[in-house]
Amino acid sequence: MKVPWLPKSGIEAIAADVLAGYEEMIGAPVAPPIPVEDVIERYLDLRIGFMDFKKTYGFHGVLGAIYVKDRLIYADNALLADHSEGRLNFTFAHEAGHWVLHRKFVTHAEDSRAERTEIICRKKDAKKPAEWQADFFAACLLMPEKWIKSAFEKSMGARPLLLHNEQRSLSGFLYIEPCVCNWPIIARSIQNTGGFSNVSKQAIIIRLQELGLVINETTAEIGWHRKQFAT
Amino acid sequence: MRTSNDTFGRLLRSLRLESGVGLRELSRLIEKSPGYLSDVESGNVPPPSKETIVQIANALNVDKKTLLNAAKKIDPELSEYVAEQPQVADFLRMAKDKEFNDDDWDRLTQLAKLSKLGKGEGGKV
Repeated sequence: MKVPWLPKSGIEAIAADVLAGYEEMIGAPVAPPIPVEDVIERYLDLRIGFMDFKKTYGFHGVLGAIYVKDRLIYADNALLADHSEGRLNFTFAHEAGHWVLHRKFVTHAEDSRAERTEIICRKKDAKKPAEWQADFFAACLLMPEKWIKSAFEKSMGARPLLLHNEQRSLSGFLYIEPCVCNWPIIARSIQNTGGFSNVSKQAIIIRLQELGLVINETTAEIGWHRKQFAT
Repeated sequence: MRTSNDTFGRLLRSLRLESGVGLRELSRLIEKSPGYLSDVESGNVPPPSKETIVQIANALNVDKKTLLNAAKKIDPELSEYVAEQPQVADFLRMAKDKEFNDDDWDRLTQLAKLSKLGKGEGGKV
């Protein structure tokens, strides 16, 4: 599926519009954890379901799909396992992203003549534009910029964190052993402070990096310290 | 063509959303898998057992009669009542033989009310 380029700010704004519409529908403001299932079912008027993709399609690596014509989102059964709550919610939000951003391209795609109006999301396609956009939409929906920034500031302070190669300790109001394996601690801190209980720590650390709140300058043995700004 | 599976599934989804209960939340409350519940709502599988339907109605805080009727299932309490009261079964058999229609049932219900039949109605108990 070919989709037009969209800037990050545009996707962020579209996700914010969806949340604003949902808030209007329920008549109350929404704060994390964002009830993505309810947004999908009641606001976007889509159905959700579960499927064994390996059994249905005969190949591995599919976490979700959207059947545009049927207004139906499927997540893989495997995501119902314990400890997959974050991945499941991200998959739902990702598929919602396809609905919001890409449905018109699916219904007008060449293969629509053959009634193939589904988008099957395979891990190996993660870098394709449509998949990347849906991923970014999911992150924006589940972790709205203002909420993640607020949580970061409360938890880590006003300055971004720089991840680098040096193995050094950090002292201060927050003490985290600066080593590569500590990114989950940073993410957990934001998770707890911001109420992002339905999002995985991996998604949080990626979002923090996208927003420039955590800057990773390393490829191995990551350490971190507070970036010193001239301001 | 819409099947009874579809009718029940659509009604269930509609009642669930009105009650503000998520698919996974409901599946937890009635101890069934979300996959099964989504299949029921999509009409891919027949409606659940009458006992499960009553559980669903309780979880959603809705009238079980609505769901049981949509599933064309009899309330377990009524099944028990019919089994325990032979006259009820006889009466229903007669109604079936005589092919009572909706109008007949309405008139009969009115008659029972006017005659104040049953406990708490001032009639003979």
